[in-house]
Amino acid sequence: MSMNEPGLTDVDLVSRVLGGDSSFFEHVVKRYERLVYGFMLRKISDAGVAQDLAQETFLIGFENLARLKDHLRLKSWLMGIAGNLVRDHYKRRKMAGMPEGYDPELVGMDPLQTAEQHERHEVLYKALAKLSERYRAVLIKRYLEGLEYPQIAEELGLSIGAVEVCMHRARKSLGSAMKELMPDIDT
Amino acid sequence: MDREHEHFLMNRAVDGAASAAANPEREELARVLKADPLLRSEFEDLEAVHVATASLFRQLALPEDFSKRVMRRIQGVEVPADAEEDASDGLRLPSARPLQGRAASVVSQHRRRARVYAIVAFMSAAAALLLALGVITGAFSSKPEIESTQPNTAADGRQGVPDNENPKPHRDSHPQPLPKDGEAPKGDSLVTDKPGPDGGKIDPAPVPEKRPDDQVDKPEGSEPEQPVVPDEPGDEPEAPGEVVEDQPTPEKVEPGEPEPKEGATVAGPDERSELGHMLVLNGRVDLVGADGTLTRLADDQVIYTGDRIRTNVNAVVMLQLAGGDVTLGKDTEVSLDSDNTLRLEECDGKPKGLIAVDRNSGHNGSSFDILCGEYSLCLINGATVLERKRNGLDISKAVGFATLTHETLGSLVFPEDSGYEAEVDFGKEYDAPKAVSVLLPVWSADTRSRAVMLAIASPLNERTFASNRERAEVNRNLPGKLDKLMRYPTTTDSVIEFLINAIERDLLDGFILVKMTGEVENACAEVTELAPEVVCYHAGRAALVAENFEQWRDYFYRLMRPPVESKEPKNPKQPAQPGQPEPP
Repeated sequence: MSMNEPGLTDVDLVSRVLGGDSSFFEHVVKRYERLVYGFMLRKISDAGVAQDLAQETFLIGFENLARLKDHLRLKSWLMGIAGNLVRDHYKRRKMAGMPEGYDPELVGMDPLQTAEQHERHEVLYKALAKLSERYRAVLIKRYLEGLEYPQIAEELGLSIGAVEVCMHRARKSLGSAMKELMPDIDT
Repeated sequence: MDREHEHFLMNRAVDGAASAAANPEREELARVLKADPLLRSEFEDLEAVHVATASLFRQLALPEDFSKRVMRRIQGVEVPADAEEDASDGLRLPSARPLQGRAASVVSQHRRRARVYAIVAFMSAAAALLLALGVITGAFSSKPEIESTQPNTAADGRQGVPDNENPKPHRDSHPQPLPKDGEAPKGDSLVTDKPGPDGGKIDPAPVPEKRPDDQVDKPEGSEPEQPVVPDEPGDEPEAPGEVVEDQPTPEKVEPGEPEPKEGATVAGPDERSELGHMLVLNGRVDLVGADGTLTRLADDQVIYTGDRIRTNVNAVVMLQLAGGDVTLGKDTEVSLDSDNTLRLEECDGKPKGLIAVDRNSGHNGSSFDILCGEYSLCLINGATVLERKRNGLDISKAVGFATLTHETLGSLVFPEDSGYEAEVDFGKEYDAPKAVSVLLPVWSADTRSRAVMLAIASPLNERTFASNRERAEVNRNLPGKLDKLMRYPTTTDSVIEFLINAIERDLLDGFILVKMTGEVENACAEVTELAPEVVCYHAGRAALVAENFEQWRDYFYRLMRPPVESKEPKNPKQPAQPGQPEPP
């Protein structure tokens, strides 16, 4: 059985999983993993936590799939789970006395990176976390989810021009942050 | 060439395939960069940021085997084949996933605390019951503590407003557990609107039980940026996943564990979730109690899941919900199912009501749904007005994307262009929506204007004005200009963006800001070949680069002007001169 079944709709996938073939859920994961993870990264900006919660989203989705009455709304439903997990994440932090803000750290280090590259990434990552959510959303949809401008505009409910403006400003903000934090950075 | 256009060219070049940048644009950019060393330096910085950002996101990307990891964890987990036993709140997503480490200890601490609260609350409730019994039997002379028929106190403890007194909003009043959920709307299963056993948690993606197969929610691929977020940002955990936190719910209780008792701070069966705020702009609004009593609500009240709100004949009320900004017009009664779903009820037994919904990118959820009987109006983004009449619904979709769905009649899709109306008769097939010039009603425009002012409050406060007079000009006159502008079918997003661009441009002072807003409103009225949304967009673009009002206006109108095609023939025929041969 091929693991790449682009022809299957969400309804088909859910029906197959509920029919007993849980392996089809992997298609669901592959179909929505970037979307869910991108959303998490926008809201949480900590890649490690975002990955964990993205995983959790699909696990909960799988466990409760039978409760999804309208299989057409699988995507919205999964995003709803993701939203709940984000909210719960922040609630837990608050109850555990953690500060409102956060100090995101990059997860792991690519061993092939030089120290300077890693430092640059750290700076950029922290600058990214400080951007407004809209700017962050545009960057994540472009760089992480790989969407084109018209798709980004449609998903965010903006005009294409507004997306372009956001992208320009986001890049400018990141550039300024990089220069401020690493004045000697050789761009 | 203006700076803004240069920026667009640069970003498009940097994005490469992401843009429609074709070779002519790259050539144009190359010429500009060659002529302007400063711009070239800026472009190089931009390229560097792009490369670094792309590199960063490669590191942030999900691991290749993410799906495999998920599937490994799924192994051995049984998918419940039958959810009938959970049908009563089958839209919730509990999970008793075991917590680990610090999270588990925090949760257990809060569980213990919750149990203590539950015991205290139970004892308080018992004492109150004894007191009430004492009063009834005449043993005590004090008033009963629990009184649900006081004209000024809602059953949930919210302070009502005596007609002749100043309102005393209890913004933070925590609702007492309701004695019963008798007012849960019945019949229509489009949304599970009964509060769940843990107090109002609703599936993050409320799902109608029946929908026609041809339901069109959105075009494929145009998914919401944000998920549907269920009711509350409040204290109760929403409870998918491992979240048990401080408020365990019966749904999450493992077999064998005692159910938590009801209490003021425990998510008991009747505790509801905070949905947002209500602002009374005009007239009177009442909370309709379970027994039909009306409690007048003050301005700036918190609103909760399950609230049923009725406006009077001259009321305008704004509900600020996570899913959208909702304006209720006169003689309208709604039940709030969640922060992105409300139900339009008959108003005091009469089939009428006026609702306007405004959704922009800052709102949560994939859509905002208004339910009316068997109908469901789903607004993905933009602004829509719905009027309930005796025989049907009138829908004006000003801007954005909306669909009307009926369980058996199918879906009616309002195209995304500005301005469509439909009159729907109950029980009859739909006609296609008509394209019309839609002006939003004044009562809706006023609240949209207020929403815009709220959105720009922060940049406006941070902006340095040269004098108090300048700031006063903005405070005094900008809202009025906005009231007129927001009647046009434009999203609040586009207006907010235009204003923020102008506010952040220090060269444009407060007087100019007000003038610009007025000019945009004029343009919306006069430039009819462009949608107001586009007009606002051009206004924002012009504001990015203008240094004074005249420059802004000049650029603004140039942007809106259609390209002019040359009407001269390519080879004009010259008349032959005497003695000369005729030209070919």
